[in-house]
Amino acid sequence: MYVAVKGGEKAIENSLKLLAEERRGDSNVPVLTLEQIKSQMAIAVDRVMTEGSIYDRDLAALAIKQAQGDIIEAVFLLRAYRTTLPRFGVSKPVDTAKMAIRRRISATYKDLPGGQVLGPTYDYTHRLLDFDLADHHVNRPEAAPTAPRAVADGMPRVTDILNSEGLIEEEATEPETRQVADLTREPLDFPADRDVRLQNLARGDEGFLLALGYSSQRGYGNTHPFAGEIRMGKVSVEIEPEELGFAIDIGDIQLTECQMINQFQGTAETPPQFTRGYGLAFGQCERKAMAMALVDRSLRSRELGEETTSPAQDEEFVLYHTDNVEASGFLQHLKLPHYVDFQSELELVRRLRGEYEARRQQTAE
Amino acid sequence: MTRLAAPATRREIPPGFADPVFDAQSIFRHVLTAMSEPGTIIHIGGELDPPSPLGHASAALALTLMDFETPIWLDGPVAAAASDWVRFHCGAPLTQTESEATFAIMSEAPNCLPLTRFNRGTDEYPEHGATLIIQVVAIEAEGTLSLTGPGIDGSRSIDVIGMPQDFWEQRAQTNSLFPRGVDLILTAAEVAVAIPRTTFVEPM
Amino acid sequence: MNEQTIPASGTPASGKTGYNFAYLDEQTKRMIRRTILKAVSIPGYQVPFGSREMPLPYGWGTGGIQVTASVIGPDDTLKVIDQGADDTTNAVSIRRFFARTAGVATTDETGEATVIQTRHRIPEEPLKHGQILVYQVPIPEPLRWLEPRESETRKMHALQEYGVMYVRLYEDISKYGHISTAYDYPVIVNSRYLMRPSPIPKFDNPKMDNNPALQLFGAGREKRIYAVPPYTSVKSLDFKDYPFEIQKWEEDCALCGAENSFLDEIIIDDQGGRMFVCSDSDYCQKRREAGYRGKDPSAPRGNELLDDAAESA
Repeated sequence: MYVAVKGGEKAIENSLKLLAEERRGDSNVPVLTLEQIKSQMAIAVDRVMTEGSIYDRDLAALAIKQAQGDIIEAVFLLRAYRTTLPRFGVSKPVDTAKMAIRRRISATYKDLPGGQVLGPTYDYTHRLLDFDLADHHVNRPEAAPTAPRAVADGMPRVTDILNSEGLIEEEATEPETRQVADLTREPLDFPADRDVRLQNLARGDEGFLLALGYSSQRGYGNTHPFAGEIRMGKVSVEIEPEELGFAIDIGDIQLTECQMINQFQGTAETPPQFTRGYGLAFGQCERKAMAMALVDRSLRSRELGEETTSPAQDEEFVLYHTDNVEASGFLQHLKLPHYVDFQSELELVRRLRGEYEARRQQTAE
Repeated sequence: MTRLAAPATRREIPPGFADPVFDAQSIFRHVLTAMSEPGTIIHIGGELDPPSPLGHASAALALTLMDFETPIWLDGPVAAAASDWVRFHCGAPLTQTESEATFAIMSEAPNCLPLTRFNRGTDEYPEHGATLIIQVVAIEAEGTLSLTGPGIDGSRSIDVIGMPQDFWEQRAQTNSLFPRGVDLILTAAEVAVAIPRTTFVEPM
Repeated sequence: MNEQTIPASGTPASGKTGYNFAYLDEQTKRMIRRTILKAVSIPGYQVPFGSREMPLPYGWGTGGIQVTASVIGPDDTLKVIDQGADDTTNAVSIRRFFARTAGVATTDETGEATVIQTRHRIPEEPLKHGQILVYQVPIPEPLRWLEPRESETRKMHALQEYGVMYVRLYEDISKYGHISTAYDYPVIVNSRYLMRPSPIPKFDNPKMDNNPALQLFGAGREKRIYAVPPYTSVKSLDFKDYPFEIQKWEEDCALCGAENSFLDEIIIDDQGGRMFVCSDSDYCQKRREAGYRGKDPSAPRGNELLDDAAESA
């Protein structure tokens, strides 16, 4: 019998209890601590912070634990919490040229000022299951050796190097007074400016951006990308309280930044030059930052006067469907009862079939 | 919630709501009734002590609906007396340009003319049309104006005292390009009545 | 500005933090209240608003919840229905949310409620002047399935260019001899805006017309609010030779015998046995209390089933 939807207070309460029990799992196994999640599942924490749009490792770890490791559910938990927070101000733009570098690579130059810094990366791991990790007694890997020389402070960004030659489009500069859009306060409107698009992409689902970026590489609006630079490390965040009149440092955050360099043919008015695609994510989210940079560049086709023919270039299509909290909610709402609508359709289909049958018999006669 | 820094005259500014959450909710419900049933008279703001000529109902509307997201235009007398009050309690930016204002407060009806100075929205975004709070001498249920349109079962009659002669004519002209238009809330002391752009007003 | 916080009481040992009355912060409520007023002054037009992320999932009533939270006060009595019934899980969940965050009185009785939040139905009992009906809306744009682009549909509304919708309905007629839209049937509000009545069955469409209650529509994920003021014309699209008509059942409600209410079909065995009962649980209950009986008045109706479900959960 179709009883599950006729739930009620008691059924919901019992379901919540069951969920809590399942979440805890086998009580003979020690409880997972937030410290463990933060330090040993750091990349999951970073993704939840990025898509949850709040930089707080503790809360992200808590959300992951509460969601039993369901990343989208954890993002949702964080977002719903974020809504209730008062906003004290807007930070100054962070300066990634001053980043304390942990990783910095460029695919466009063999060597460059500051050098290539590989840092911690899965890139050159062989994807062989490491059965040593299954043994929880092995808890101290061999210490990584220290680099022979310190990583340089303030490495120039590759795009700045190209810029000095005039080979890449100038970064659009905005007056300091311009209010940056905030999608969490104002709904999307079209055409969307780049600040709105970037915020949307930064909050967007990594999987969706990955697929879109990938589609652009396979010919659906190819943008001829080069990974100009990917850097990851800490930057300081500053705010300038109105009553003080000068900026104060409120702490460091770890970021991954990707600057894609894309070819552009030029027009009658502009000489051929490279164009930019930009990606930025909290923590270590390299795949996300790269995918974001590809999609950002694809979405610039309108302002660059390119033909927009592919999904990744379609602003409304992309921006309306990046948000996994929205998407997941709407998809899962199909679980809610729809029997009123269904009943309406049922009645109609029965009637149409009856009429069809009547017509058929009439023709037969 | 962060607010703009208090001006130097803070101590002289009369207080706002005693209970910001529940007072705003209760007044909003009255305003919602007024806007969804044009011509219905509501009483709001009696407990407030706003700087004259800002009226009680006008002040209640400001506290309920305005904040840093809504640029406000005040006419000369209201601006002179109540700019600090509005800035302090609502945290709202004041604008000198009528067409930029989400809300405008007029100490008396003649100051609102011509209505076309205000934002009427566009066909695509008609909600950008301004809400004008116009203080009048008196508002009576039953009288010389007949209202029809959405929210009104048949017709409703009111009387508004203190309107310039051609006001209703000007309003009709201003709102002739529906959905573009301005929405009005007329106030007199603690009394208020709303006349949204859809209401057809006819002098009897 | 001070924000009144109330402890998240009502359920044992819930949360360490207090939330503002009705969950939303005051600035958000002001923004939504302004949006509602503009929606009321332009009936049927979808006003964009800065929809917030709610602690319930998008698609599960977040638009309706934000509207209700911005409207409701301590003197209100709230009724929440889903598919016409007060005891469906999501209705229970939303009612709990408000009982917990706003401490308001709740009721199952349509006549007692000052605010009714609904998904997919309008109650059978006629609404009264002074009541507010808040609809949860999944897709607010009536033209969306004909034109997926917001930038295009916005222009179509601006120009009142609704021909495509008539064409679609007419195509149904030429194909089936009927308009094949059974729910979410498009309406024109105040002779101007094409509006999607949230997916209520077209059976309920006539109730929207000239209703004494205020009707508010909230779409959280799509970030739109729209409204129909009381006593406002709401006409279902139709053609002179194919006038709008509502669905009819050959059966009456098996429990209360109602002939004119929207019926849910309940499958009672695997032999094709079925019965029909009122989708509006309060209406059915009231009728049975008043002595009306259908042909199978002892049949289970959900509450009984619910207890079984609770035990097996």
